Formats: sequence, C-alpha cells, structure tokens
Amino acid sequence: MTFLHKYPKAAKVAKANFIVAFIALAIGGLFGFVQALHRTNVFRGFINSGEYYTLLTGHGVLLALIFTTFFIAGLFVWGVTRSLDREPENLTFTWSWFWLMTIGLVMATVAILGGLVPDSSIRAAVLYTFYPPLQAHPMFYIGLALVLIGSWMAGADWFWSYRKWRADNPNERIPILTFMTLFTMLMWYVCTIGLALEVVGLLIPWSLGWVTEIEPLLPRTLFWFFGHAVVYFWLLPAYYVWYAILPKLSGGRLFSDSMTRIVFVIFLLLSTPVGYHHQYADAGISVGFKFYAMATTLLLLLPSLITLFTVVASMEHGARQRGGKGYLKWIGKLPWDSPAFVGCAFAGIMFAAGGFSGMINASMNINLLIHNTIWVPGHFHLTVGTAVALTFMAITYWLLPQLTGRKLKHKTLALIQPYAWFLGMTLMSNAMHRAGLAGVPRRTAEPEYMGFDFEPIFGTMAEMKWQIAIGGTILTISLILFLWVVVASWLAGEKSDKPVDDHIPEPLSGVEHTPAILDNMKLWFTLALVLVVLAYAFPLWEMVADGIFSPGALPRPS
Amino acid sequence: MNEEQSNSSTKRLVKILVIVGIGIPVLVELMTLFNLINVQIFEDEEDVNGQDSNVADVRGFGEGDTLFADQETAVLIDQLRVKVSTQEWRFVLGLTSVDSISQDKLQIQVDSLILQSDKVLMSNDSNIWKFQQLVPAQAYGEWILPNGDIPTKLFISMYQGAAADSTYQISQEVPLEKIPVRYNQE
Ligand code: HEM
Ligand SMILES: [Cu+2]
Repeated sequence: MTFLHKYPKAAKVAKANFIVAFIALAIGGLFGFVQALHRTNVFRGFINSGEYYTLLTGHGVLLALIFTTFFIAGLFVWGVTRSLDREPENLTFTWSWFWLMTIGLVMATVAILGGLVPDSSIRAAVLYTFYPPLQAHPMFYIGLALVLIGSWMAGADWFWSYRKWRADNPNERIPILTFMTLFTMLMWYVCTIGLALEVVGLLIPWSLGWVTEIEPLLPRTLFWFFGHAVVYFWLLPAYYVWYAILPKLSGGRLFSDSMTRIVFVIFLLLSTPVGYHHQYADAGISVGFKFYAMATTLLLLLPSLITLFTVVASMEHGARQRGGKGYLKWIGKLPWDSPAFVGCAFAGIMFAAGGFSGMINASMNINLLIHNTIWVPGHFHLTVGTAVALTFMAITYWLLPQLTGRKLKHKTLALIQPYAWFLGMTLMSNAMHRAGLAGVPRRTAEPEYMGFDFEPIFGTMAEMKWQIAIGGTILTISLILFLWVVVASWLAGEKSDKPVDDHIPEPLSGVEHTPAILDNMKLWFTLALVLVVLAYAFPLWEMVADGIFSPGALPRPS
Repeated sequence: MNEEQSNSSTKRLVKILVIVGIGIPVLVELMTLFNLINVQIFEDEEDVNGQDSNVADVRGFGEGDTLFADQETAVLIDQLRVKVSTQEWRFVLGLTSVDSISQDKLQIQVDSLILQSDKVLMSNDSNIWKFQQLVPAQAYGEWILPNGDIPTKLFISMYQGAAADSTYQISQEVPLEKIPVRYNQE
C-alpha cells in the first residue's frame, strides 16, 4: 500500500499539479538555455535580441511563478492528506482551484508567447516582476489574478481539511506536515494582499486603458510587499522537504520538532515586512525605512541558520545510524547513490552559498555595487533556481512512485542528474557573480557597450561568458535527464504495491517537547499583520504625502 | 552475483560523479577565492588606472555628440538607435543642425555603413541613404539591417551649396559607440 492506493483522489489531484509544474519547467528551462547562449554571444540563432525579453519573461514566469506554485500545491496536497489521513473534503472545490489556476496560467503564457508571433498585438514582455512602466496585454494580468485566486482557494482547502480533522481530534497537536503547510499558506495570505492590490487595483485597469497614468513607485512598492515573501513561499516547501523527508532519506530522523515549528513561525512573522530591501535604489522611500528593512532582513538569517543546524544534525544522525563515525567521516556514510538524497543535499549546500551572496544583497551600502547586475541572477539561481528547484526535482524521485504506484526507472540517469545540476550551476552562478562585480547588467540581450570595457576583478570577460554558457548547457542536460526519468517512470515504470519506502519515522525530539503556543495560528497571524502594518504604514503614508496619487505632478518638498 | 556487480558499478559511478560533480565545483570556487585575495592584496592598483585612460580614447560617437564639429554647419546626433521588432532590425539616425542660420541646400548623406559582422552596406540607392535638405534643421532616416547586426562605423558626407555655382563637400568617418537596441512595441 502506498499513497496512491490509500488516497486515490488526492493522488490524482497531486499528479495533475505535478504535470502542469513539469511542463512549465520544461518550457521555462528551454528558454533559460537560449538566454544563456544568446546573451553571452555564444549562439544567437534561436532568436533576435528583440525577442529576448519575451523569452526572459517566459523563463521567469514559468519557472519562478508557475513551476513553483503548482509543484507546491501538489506537494501540500500529498502532505496534508497523508498527515491528516483524509482525502480532500470536496472534490468539486479541489478541482475548481486547480482548473482556475490552470486557466490563469494558460492566459498568462499565451500573452507572453504572443510576443514571438509576428505582428501580434498580444504580448507581455514585462519580465516576471511585471510592474510599470512596462505594460502587458490585459490577459496577462487577468491570468495572474486567476492563478492567485486559485492559490487562495487551495489554501482554504487545506484549512478546511484541518478544521474537519480538528473536530475529530480536539486534543492532538497539528501534525508537522500540516503545520508547515498551514504556516506557509498564512504567510502567503499576508503577502498576497499587496499583489492583489497591485494587479486588480492598478495593473488591470491600466492595461485596459481605464487609467492612463500611474506613478511607478506605488506598484513597485506593492509588488515588493509580495516580492520578498514570495521567495519564502518557494523556499518553505523546500524546507518542508528538508525537515520532514530528508532526515529519513539519510537514514535517520528529524532532530527536533520544535525547532521546525519555530522556524516556520519566524518566517510567517518576518517575511513580509522586509520587502523594501528590493527598493534600496528607489527614490521616494526614506533611507531610514530602508535601514529598518535591512535590519529585519538580517534577522531572517536566524531561522535559516537554525535550519542549517537542524538539517545537518538530522543528516549526521542518519549517517551514524548507517555506521558513520568521526567528526566528519560520517559524511561518507550518507547515501550518495540515492538521487533523492543527493539532490536535496546539494540543494542545501547551494542554499548556503546563496545565503552568502544574499547577505551582500541585503546590506544597503554594498547592495549598490551589484544592484541590477548579473550578480543578482547569479544569486537567485542558487536559491530559487537550485535550493528550491533541485529539491523539488529530487523529491519527485521519491514522491512520484507513491503517486503513480510505479517504481522509478533509469536510476543511473536519475543519479547523474543532481550531480550535473550542481556542476552546471556552480559554473553558471560563479561566473554570473564575477561578471556582476565587473558591472555587467542583468536583463539584457546586449550586455556590452562599445567604447567601454568592463574590468573584471580577475579573469577575462570572454572566459566568464564561456563559463556561463557551458554551465547553462550542463544545466539544460540535467533538466532533460530529469524530465526523461519522470516521463519514462510515469508511463512505463514497473507497477508495485510498495514502489518506494515511504515510511517517515518520528522525530528524535518529538512534539511532546514542543511548546503549545507555537501551534496558535491566530496569535501568530495577528502578530504578522501588526508587523506588516508597522513596517508599511509610515512609508506608504510618506508616499501619499509626496503625491503618489497625482502622477506626473512635480515632486513636492516634504 | 548480478546484484553485486550492479552494486560495484554503482559505486564506481558514484566515485566518478563525486570527482567531477563535486571536485570541479570545489576547484572553481577555490580558484575564485584565491584570485580574489590575490588581486586585493598583492596586485598593483596602477594597472587598473592605466587602462582607464585608454578606454576613454576609443570612445565612439553616440546620441548627443556632434558631427562636423569643426565646421560652420555642425550637426547633432539626436537619435542613434537600433529599433527591433519581431520581424526586422532597423537602424535609425536622427540629426539636428546646431544653429539654425540659413543653411539652404545643405545635404547630408550616409555613404556607407560598416556592421559588427564586418559587412559593409553601400549607398547605391540614393533615395534611401540621403537626408534631403537639412532645413528646417532636422532630418531623420531609417535603414533595414541584416537581422542581429549592429553598425559600428558610418561614413557620412555633407554637401553645401555655399555659392550659387560651387558645391562644398566634406566627409567624415564616424566610429560609433555601442548602439542601444530598442524593442518596438508597435
Ligand atoms: C536550465 C537551467 C537554467 C538556465 C540555463 C538559466 C539561465 C538564466 C539566465 C542566463 C538568466 C539571466 C538573463 C538576464 O538577466 O539577461 C536567467 C534569469 C532568471 N532565471 Fe534562470 N536559468 C535556469 C533555471 C532557472 C530556474 C530553475 C529558475 C527558478 C525556479 C530560474 C529563474 C530565473 C529568474 C526568476 C530569472 C530572472 C528573470 C528576470 O530578470 O526577469 N532559472 N536564467
Ligand atoms: Cu528579498
């Protein structure tokens, strides 16, 4: 008996979400490959530079917004169902959020791909941050709004299951998989307030021509209200895997249940009030507020360091169960031949590296050195592009058999895949960071200026370009391996009653040691809202006083 | 037997993967660290400054620069762009004469364009390549380019009917700076 046999309905929902996620991953990844070759001038035959922005938008939206959201939905359906031992409460409702999100995604994608059709008036080359002054066809914004509403309904679905479960189990603690899901969704509800206001209140009316003038600062601020928390919306599901599943894959148990809950509570509280740290270079926000955002951001290192400790401790426990000894020698006893484990472990290592460049991004003064340079894509391909994406790919090797009742095929290819990703990403990201230090801009097909030579700190421009192109190519090969393994296993894997060992053991320090207050969702949600109001009320008020609602007016002294 | 064989071949594979998949990344990062420290601590700053002045020398013409600067009839480049749509690349050049004193019969002609790919576009079709009559003071021209190519240099001539019978001509070679490529929404 595996998940499919116990919960056939939930398995179907999770699989549907995964199918959409993997299609988005395939298309978005292909675009990434083309970009890496085009902007480095290694091969320019796929597109011309004018189409680059359409591709870049497709890459960012399909990977960072669509692949993540759908994969997360599938993962959470699996986890909530399993840990509460309930199928979804009402399948009509469940399928309606899935289809709403899918229709929205198709609308947004059609709008983007319209940019590749000659003379099409439908286009959305606005990049995945999509704030003005770049403008897209209304279909793009409306599609995104539908995805957003669908995701809210998905969250409601999980809270619904939880309510029902609670009625039957009034004295139990929230099971850890459900706890992580619900706290992630609470954070999502807080941060998407900004996005909803931006898209519905400003962008849709503007793209339809009902409003003609918008002061860019307001939509930017609303976007970044959402834009930092969204990175935790991607990341927390990866943490979910690292906390709940990775210890088991390394042969051990989760180190501490209460650490896990504390980390999720901190993320709920601090994710949204730090949004300004993406606006260090924006005029119109006082530097004092930016400083506040910086301080809060650096506080967010804490839960990530707790995670580092807990996850490594859990892995060490696993390795010692497998006979590992010594201070560091136990590392060799980890299952380096298991694709799911290797992928998660590499994702974690890369996340640590991403954390280092993240500290530089977060620090207001040195941020200006790398602002809007290719350093920034170098950074987030380590975080969302690897910590999140590689974790999702790796855990698919473990989840897919449970959802399809089929064993994984091509284990060798599956094993090569995370190693290839790690290699490719190191090359690409290392060179992007270095090129960024030399001042090479991001988001452009033509990163060079004539009559001006970049001065790399060391190495040469040509060598960095090649490193980016080669890294991108290895990543693409890794992606193809992943998709190949998934499709082959899904269609032709050997059917089995127990295609994978899906037992998750209890934590070493279990829920009985966890303070009950951590489960108090009302308390933490309220506190999160209060912190958001504290962080955003003053700067927004300042913007209003500066005349944000009279676009085009001369700046007033304040 | 079979089990054991596949086990040992997996072990070999893991060994290779660890060497390539972890070894190369570790090497790349160590080299980066070494070079960074090396540059910061042991390298002369002067090198870098020396390069700087060289770079300024080769700077080409761009928007806002003046053509025929030493002439009476200097013209300003007010547009120098590559405009791109999904279908075509167009080179756009807009000129404005600096002072609007009577400049009747002033004509400016782009003789040829040198592209990044070293292709040369000649002005065999005078209609396309000429700015007729730079009075009143502004002219604008567009040329289709091969997809993906960017002009690096243009040869431009100015004719002026100074007196009734004599025509005055000067030519200039104009090296261009990196031209901004702009996407056309229309
Ligand atoms: C095959 C693997 C990949 C390759 C070769 C690749 C390549 C690239 C390149 C070269 C850029 C920079 C373009 C520029 O700034 O001009 C970029 C941007 C980006 N990539 Fe990737 N990428 C890959 C995978 C991913 C993944 C898995 C994600 C996220 C889940 C991701 C998310 C992004 C985002 C959000 C941007 C920024 C888009 C923007 O600036 O609007 N990429 N990618
Ligand atoms: Cu952020």
